Amino acid sequence: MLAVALLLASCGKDDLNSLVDQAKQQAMAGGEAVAKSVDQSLDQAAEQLAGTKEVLNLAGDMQLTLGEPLSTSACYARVVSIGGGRPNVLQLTSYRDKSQESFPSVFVQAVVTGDSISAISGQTVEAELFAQRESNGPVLFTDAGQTVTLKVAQVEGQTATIEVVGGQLRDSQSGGEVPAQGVFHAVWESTE
Amino acid sequence: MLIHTDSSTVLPYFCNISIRHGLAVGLVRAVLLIPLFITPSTASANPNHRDVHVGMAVHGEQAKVLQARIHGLYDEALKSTQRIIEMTAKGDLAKVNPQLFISARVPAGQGARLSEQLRLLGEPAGPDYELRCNRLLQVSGPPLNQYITFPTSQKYIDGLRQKLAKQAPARANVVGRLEQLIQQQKWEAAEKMLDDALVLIYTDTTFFHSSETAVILKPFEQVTAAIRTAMLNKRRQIAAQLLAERRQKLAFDLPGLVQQVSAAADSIGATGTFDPDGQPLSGPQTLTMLAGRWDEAHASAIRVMAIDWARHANGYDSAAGYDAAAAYDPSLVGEVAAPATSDSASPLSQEYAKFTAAMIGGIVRLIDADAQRLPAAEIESRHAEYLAALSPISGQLADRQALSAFSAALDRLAAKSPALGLQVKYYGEATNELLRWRQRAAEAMARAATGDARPIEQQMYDATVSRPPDYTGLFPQVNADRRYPALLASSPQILEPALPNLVGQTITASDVTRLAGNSKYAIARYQLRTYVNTPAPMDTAGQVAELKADLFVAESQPPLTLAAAAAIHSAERGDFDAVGGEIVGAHLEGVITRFASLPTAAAWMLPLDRLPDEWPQQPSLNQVLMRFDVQPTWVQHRCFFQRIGPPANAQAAHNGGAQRVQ
Repeated sequence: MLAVALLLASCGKDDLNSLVDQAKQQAMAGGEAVAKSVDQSLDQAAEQLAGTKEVLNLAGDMQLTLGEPLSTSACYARVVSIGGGRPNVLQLTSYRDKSQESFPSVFVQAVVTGDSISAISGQTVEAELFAQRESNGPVLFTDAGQTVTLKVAQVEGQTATIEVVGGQLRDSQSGGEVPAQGVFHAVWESTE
Repeated sequence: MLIHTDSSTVLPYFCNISIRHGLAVGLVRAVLLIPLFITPSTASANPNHRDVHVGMAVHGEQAKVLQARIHGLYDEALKSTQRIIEMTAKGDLAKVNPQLFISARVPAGQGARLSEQLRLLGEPAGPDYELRCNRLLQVSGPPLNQYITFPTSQKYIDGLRQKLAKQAPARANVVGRLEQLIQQQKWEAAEKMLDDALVLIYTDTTFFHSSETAVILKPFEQVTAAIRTAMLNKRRQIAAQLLAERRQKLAFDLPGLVQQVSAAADSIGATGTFDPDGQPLSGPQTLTMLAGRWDEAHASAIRVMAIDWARHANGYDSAAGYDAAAAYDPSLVGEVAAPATSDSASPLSQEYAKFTAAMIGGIVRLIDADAQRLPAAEIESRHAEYLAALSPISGQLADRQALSAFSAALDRLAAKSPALGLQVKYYGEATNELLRWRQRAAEAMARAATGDARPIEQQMYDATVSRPPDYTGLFPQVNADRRYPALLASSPQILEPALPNLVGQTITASDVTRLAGNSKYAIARYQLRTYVNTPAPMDTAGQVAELKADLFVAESQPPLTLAAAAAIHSAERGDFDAVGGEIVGAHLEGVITRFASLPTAAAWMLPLDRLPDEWPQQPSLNQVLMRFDVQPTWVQHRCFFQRIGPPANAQAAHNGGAQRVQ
């Protein structure tokens, strides 16, 4: 556990979630005798994660199951109002902008009726979702004419919890469909 | 250039023999009309999967009848040789009529000699026919050597010896008359008389050892050398002149077009219209007009480049027409950097690169000039019109700098209306990432669909690389430079064994653009000496509708960025990043011929800002490329992927439109 905590200080954000996951799995596998020390280590890991995310200016996270689990260390939400009679668009990304993209990477886009995160609180919307676990790897995506259903479950200040209620994604590698589930803990980004 | 032949130069001796061995028609025609390079036209194709013995196409009008004549000789020799081989295989060599050997070997020798004339005209068919005819002579050699050992053959050969001995005075007479013609410098007449005489001699000496034939030919040595040298020089002069004239006729005034763009920008800035032909055009209409002119300039430059290859391959002098140092308005050229050309690039390539940069710069200047003049109320509609005009141009440019320059100009135009400027900004934010992820998904789907399929250029290389000693192909076995496939053997020898590794194989090809207009064909652009024809259009209507919906585009709501407009435009017309499918046809073409005779509608086989400037050293006529016909099983657009069912082209036959590249 100490090793995990030490590693956290030096690793990048891509690795942080997987290390936390490893720690969680070890905790679940271990007996009660080690539970306390594991909890302490997890707390340290979480602190390190929060610190590192702060350094990297990351916020939010995505906890998804797209066939298999997929987590990201950041989740940004924005609503773009195009104007001119065109709809408003909710975007969720695992990166602040494409120059800072890392993997796994996720992009979600949905047409919404509100023009801010608070205005869409409680709405259920149909979205397109794209995810790629590694650079140049297979892509999971909503096929032509398909969507995943999202519910904007909770909005508090500049953060929102958005649940994936249901939907299927196409797996580019297998050609098959996988179910989409999970939750986005998104931080609101202004488009201005 | 026709020779008016005196009938007295034709000895009865020649005519009788000619008629007897089946060369009558060709010889009589030759007697009547022996032009230096004959002019009527005949249709031609290229060696292909259906018939490897089809002749390679020629690009010059002057070469067409000459090619037809050589092909006739080749065809006669081929059929006779095939019959000899068949009979030999059956053990019936002794039963072969001696005329069959004559009609196998005499036309082959004649074809090989005449092929030099195609070579002088810069025709790749020339070296191919030479290789073909020599191959036939090589193939019929061993059966002939065996045939002459048969007792019945010896009797026949003895008869020929007696005949030739009797004809010695007539031959001496011919030599004398040839000397007279040479003295009078009547070269064409001399050549015709010489050729007729030689055909007869070769006919009667077909079964002789070469040393015995040499004795009979000895009296002709000096006149032959004199006539051949004189006619070679004459043909070289004429061919150089013909090619220079074609080049001059084809050459496009590139600086003139740039000046027109510049004038258009000035006029649009001053009055809002440009009036090149008595009909005022708006800025976007002017762009569409200029794009058409650019297409013409592009096709012309490609053809001229190929004519230059043909000229340089024969060592003909350079001709003026394009200039690496041509002066273009620096303010236009400065907008985007000219595409890089190598130090060894031809003056034409270097000038075309500058021309391209100037055209892009001129278009940007035109949009900016319009933006300066337009009132805010007209900006929105004009912005949409410019997007519609620029989308087709953008799709034909390889240089991404141009798109950035166009987009920046459109942004400056939109900014003249603060409301539209904001809309464009937010529209970009709402669509750019979606476009990027759509492309990523499409690429991933294509990667998965590719499986074991190889890129077309790899498939061609694998099928045609030499495998000594059994197969000589387009590439040497060792140290092959994959950029330069060439005829290392005759085209039928190369193509026939390669076909099982080509036709029926699954491949991928990239950069697919539908030919101009509503063509029923699309083309995977030329690269590494390959290009691919596919049927068009593909049924992607559902994907296009989804894409438009994703980009918030409707009848009354056009796209607001060039990226979105170009994506929709390319999807609607059937341009794809890649295609996968089965090869259903393969064709071998001379590089020079392909580009020298390129139809304007097919010039998109190269991006508008590129020329096929591919020879760092001296070009040669035996350089080839391959065209493949592919039935797609999937297509990858920049924004989507779609599998294509077998009957994808069921409707294509009814579409009409522009031509397939053939």
